[in-house]
Amino acid sequence: MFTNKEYLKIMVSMTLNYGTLMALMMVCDQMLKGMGYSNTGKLTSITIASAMIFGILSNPLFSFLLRKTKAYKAVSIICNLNYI
Amino acid sequence: MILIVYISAALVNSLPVHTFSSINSIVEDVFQISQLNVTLNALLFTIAHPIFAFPWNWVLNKYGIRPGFIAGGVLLIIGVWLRLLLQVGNSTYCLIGSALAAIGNIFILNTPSKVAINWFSAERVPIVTFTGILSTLISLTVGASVPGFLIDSHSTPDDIRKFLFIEACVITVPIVLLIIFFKEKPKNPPSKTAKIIFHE
Repeated sequence: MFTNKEYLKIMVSMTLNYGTLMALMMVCDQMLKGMGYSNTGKLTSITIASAMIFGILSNPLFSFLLRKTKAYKAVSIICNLNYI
Repeated sequence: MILIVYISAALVNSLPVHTFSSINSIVEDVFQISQLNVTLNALLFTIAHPIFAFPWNWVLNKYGIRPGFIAGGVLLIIGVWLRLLLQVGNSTYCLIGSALAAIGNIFILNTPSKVAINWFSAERVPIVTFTGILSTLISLTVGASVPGFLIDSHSTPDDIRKFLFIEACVITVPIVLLIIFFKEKPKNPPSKTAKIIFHE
């Protein structure tokens, strides 16, 4: 499993994506407070909820795209566009 | 029945993960504890997952899903109730509670595909697995979002403890139902894969 380069690419990509999301969720409140926002609790809740809801809704969309096109590389790139 | 019990448990299983994430700074101010101690409550779940995922998976394969649910459920319930002992200037019990909940959480988190294979026909396995995973995501979203709307900068330690109490009750009921009503497998295997697994 760990000698397969393609698997390693997916694993590293997913690790970094998920790790970044978790880290952002944990420090989002502190970041918003540092930026001078008041009532950061509500803002953080909205930010986290929108990210998760978008993830849940886009899941069937990307599954459909993958099944239809089999363009795994292109879909992976679209999924990671936010990091550019 | 099995699916309802399992999905309702999956819907509450990840509620405690990000309880403090959206009210991080409020908890820090109200309870006068360090930012690291507040963040640790969520971080413990992330730390526990890679450490315990493989051994717990082995336990589930060796002893079955039901014993795993009992162990995980008990740890989760003890953990969320221990978090009520969060005091001004002292978060030790809360952190111990989060650690126990994090260890127990993995038992239920890792099981959608196992439950689907044991209980449902081959055509239904993907949809049941997806429902289990979706329930976990919804649980994470609700657990991270709700505290921010109910707790604000004017909240007192009692308000936050009251919220933790409600959260503990909401988590306890479905987990207890899971422990009582969940059965390991049906009398007749629902698929060829299940038949092979049952005979192992």
